[in-house]
Amino acid sequence: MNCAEFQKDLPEIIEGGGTDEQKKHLATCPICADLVQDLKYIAEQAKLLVPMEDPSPRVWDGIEKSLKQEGLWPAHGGPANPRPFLVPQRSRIAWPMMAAVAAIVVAVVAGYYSRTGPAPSNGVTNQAIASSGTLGPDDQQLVRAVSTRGAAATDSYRKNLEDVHAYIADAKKWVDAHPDDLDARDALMRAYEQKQLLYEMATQDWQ
Amino acid sequence: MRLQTASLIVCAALLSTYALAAGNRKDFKYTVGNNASVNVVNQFGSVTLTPATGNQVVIAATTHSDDVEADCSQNGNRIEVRTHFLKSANDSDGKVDYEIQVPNGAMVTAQVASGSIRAERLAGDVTLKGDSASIEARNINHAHVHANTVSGPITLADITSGHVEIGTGSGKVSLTNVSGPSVTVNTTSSGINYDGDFGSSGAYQLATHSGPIDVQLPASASVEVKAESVNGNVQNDFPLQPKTHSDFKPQMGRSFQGFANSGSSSVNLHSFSGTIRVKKR
Repeated sequence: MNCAEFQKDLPEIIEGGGTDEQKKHLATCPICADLVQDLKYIAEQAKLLVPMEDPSPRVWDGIEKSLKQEGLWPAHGGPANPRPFLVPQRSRIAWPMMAAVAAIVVAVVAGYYSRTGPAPSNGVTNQAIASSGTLGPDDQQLVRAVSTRGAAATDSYRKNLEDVHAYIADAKKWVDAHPDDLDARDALMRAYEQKQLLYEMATQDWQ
Repeated sequence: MRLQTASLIVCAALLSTYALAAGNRKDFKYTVGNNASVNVVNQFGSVTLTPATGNQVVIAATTHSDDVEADCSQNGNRIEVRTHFLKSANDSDGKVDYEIQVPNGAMVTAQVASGSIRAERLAGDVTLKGDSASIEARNINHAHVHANTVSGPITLADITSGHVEIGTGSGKVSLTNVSGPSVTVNTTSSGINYDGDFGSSGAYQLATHSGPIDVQLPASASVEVKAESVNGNVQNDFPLQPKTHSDFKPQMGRSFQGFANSGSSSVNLHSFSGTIRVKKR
């Protein structure tokens, strides 16, 4: 099983653990393991969103835009207004929110892979990529893709990715220390938006 | 005779070299209806957007080598402007400069990797994206202004009644007289500078992970300010009255909250490790 096949069934894997073959791939592939770990963390944090206020409209706009860009929006055009579709009732807020955030992450990562080709299937290569520097394997691959734009761009992306990881780590710490603090959760969302921005800009088709 | 011919050839070659160095300009003109959209993608160079008179999109594209060309096309009410690479080129040979005039109400999206984007006096929504490119937007009213870069600086001035969204990794953000119902800025490591009165109402959120936030506002500003730097410092030189009935518990040197005048605009300043300074202008 390769990464693309594995990532196609991500929702089922996260919910049910996956088949033996998927579990085997997960155990040997740091890229997919990292992705699943991130999505599980988002899912955990999203559960805390049950009693919170609605996020700002730009969050919904961003979600809708991302879903449309990645072709995940229903072909018939989807609901006229995404907000009641995503947040119909307070009791249902956690799952749609989690699904939406997860969809963005999956969409961005999937979009990235579709542009740069599948991740290396060689476990040793993956391991080597994962262990180099402070960036994760997906980030390393992103930096490699950007390297065609020159040394300055490569350094800029590498530095920005490192900084955004520090942002996410600090925000996660803050959420963990203050799980009921809305500002902390907003900060975590903002940190992930910054990572999303980097991936979007890195995968921009300029020609 | 042979000498004369040779001289002519040399002159022609020199002239063509000069013409290429100076740039090869091409003009395009399209008539559009209401609510037109203009989409520009340019890897290297500049994009300058100004208002057009009437309902025409007018484009002047200047290339600097034969390695690239400007592809402009019209599909109904949509104008596409894209730099087409005929062969692989660096930022010098691949550079194209666009001067584009857009009609009132047209929605504009412009993306430049390296170079600059400048938009001024437009009367429609603008989305501007750069990698290391600088972004500058001025004199835009009643519109959505979205600007994103990885490392390019973003400068906004004289934006009123705007829905402003700015995101950048490490590009410095400078806002002067920017106001509207919603103004949000999010940076990872770069500083944010706001100079203005925050309008008469609206929600302002300036957030960064590690950059400083500097705010200068006049005594007449009607604001409710909440500032917090999780691991950094806050400094306030603006007379604020304490807010009662608030769940927020300010920490000396790390956060503060208060309002001035009627507090009609909400201003939220947040950083993890950067210093936040609020000063009276």
